[in-house]
Amino acid sequence: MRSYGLDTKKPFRFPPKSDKIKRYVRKGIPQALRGAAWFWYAGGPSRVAKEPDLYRNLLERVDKGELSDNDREHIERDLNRTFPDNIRFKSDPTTTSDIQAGAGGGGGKKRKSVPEPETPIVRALRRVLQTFAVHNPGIGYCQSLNFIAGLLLIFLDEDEEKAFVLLEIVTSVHLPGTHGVTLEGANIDIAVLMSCVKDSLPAIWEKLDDKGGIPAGDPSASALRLPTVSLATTAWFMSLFVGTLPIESVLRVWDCLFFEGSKTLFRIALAIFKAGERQILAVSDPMEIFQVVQTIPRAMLDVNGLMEELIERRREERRRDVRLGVAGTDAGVLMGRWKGRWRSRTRV
Amino acid sequence: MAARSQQGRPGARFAQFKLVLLGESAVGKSSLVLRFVKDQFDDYRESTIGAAFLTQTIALDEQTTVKFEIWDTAGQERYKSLAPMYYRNANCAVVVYDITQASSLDKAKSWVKELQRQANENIIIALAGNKADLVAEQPDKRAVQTADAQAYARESNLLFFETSAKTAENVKELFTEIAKKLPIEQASQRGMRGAAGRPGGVDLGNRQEAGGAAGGPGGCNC
Repeated sequence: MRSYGLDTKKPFRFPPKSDKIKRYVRKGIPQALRGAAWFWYAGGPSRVAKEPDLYRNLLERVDKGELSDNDREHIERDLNRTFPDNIRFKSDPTTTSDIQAGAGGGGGKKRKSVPEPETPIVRALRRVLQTFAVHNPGIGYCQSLNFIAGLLLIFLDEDEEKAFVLLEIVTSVHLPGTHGVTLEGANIDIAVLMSCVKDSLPAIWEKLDDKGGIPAGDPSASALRLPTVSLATTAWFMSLFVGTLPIESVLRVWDCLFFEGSKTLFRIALAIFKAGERQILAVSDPMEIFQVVQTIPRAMLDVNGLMEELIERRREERRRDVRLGVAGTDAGVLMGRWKGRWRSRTRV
Repeated sequence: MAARSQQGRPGARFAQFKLVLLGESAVGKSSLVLRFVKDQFDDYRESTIGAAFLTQTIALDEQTTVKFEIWDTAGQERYKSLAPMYYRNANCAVVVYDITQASSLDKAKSWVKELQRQANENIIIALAGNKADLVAEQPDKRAVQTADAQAYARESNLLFFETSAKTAENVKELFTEIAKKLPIEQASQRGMRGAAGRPGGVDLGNRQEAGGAAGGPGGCNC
């Protein structure tokens, strides 16, 4: 940072993207800089510059009652189910701050039955999720956004506006449509992942492919039926691996995600399958395979190993198609096409 | 392993069945499973995204062992499109509501209707009114009367329990009663999981028929 002439105390600017910085990011952004670096590299500042009053206006709209009862209720239900073991989310019986404060127009109503007061981060989480739902009627509130917003708030020093902006970026740039009311985008993500597995890990694909009968999201790809095990991966994308990988690993994945984009998610997902190759090949019952795939990522504490697997994969990709990145592989082409189609469809 | 049908001892029976949990979000589906599978309880449980798969084996008597393969699903409405994947070949279902939330029973009823229309025709359905502990502490919290739910369960031909994942009340009983209703004899004789008859097999994948010719009932409707 210093060599770039940038402040290291409470930075908000970061060095321009380069291969060198990318290498640093892949080794893990220092904890103290993490949230700010995510915000910077994901393009947060320019979003805020474009609509500086957005968050404040949305808060007002929530206050005016524009949030649907359904979304409000589902958000309330999940507030206490977001990192319940984290000290900043756990309600603290010793303080007695006003539960209603900042609840955004009666959002606290339902909480009356809960005697413990809420922590500030829980109130911030409520507002982020409420404003997001009002701003994105095609998504509203989707379970899993609570985990993303919650982790963002932790690393952004509870700066709600920044958390909101990053949540916007995740759901519009990285995973468009994934959290929508029909989850169609989530199906596409899974289909893309499965076709990547098929292309680059054929031995594992042989094992996974039980002709499970979930139609892929894209009608033209009806030949590709998603295997049962693909259901285990829904949460990987929707929650950006929160709850799937150990938290240390999640943070490293997010470092790359906000720097490099959504291809990171697919690479990590492939790396998980690769890491579990021996275990997957050792079982044959589809339900056992499901359990293996469900369990592998939970133990993936070796973030460096995971990242190396990623980088190795990346090198292979490059060798195949220099500089075109993931769009160069067969799976990449497919992915690009589907994602493109998906985007054009959602824009109409 | 899946085909393990006998357990050495003469007369011993072993069968496995697929069970799916359905219900409104935050009624305690995951908590019921956690109590049943690990005998644990957390006051605040993280919301389930997508679905989780767990197994638990119970002994009905000295001779009879039943293994449940449990799909614990996400409760939010938008995940509903995935639900058929989980219940399609299920032998049994637990539909959960929260006895302190009247609307959750309506949701449970719509799940029951969907199961009776779409799922395996021999499916055993149990209705579980969860969070009985809250009512034990504060009776005025009750929003669904036991008699009402019971009457509904009777007319819809469902097993019925009021449960508490927190205190473990009726949790084991719930799964045991389901097990008793399952066609164990058939299942253990056939030596495969799931006996609930033809519109079944239990694999989501119908993989025995993966060759393509058959593509049985599980392989194509969706």
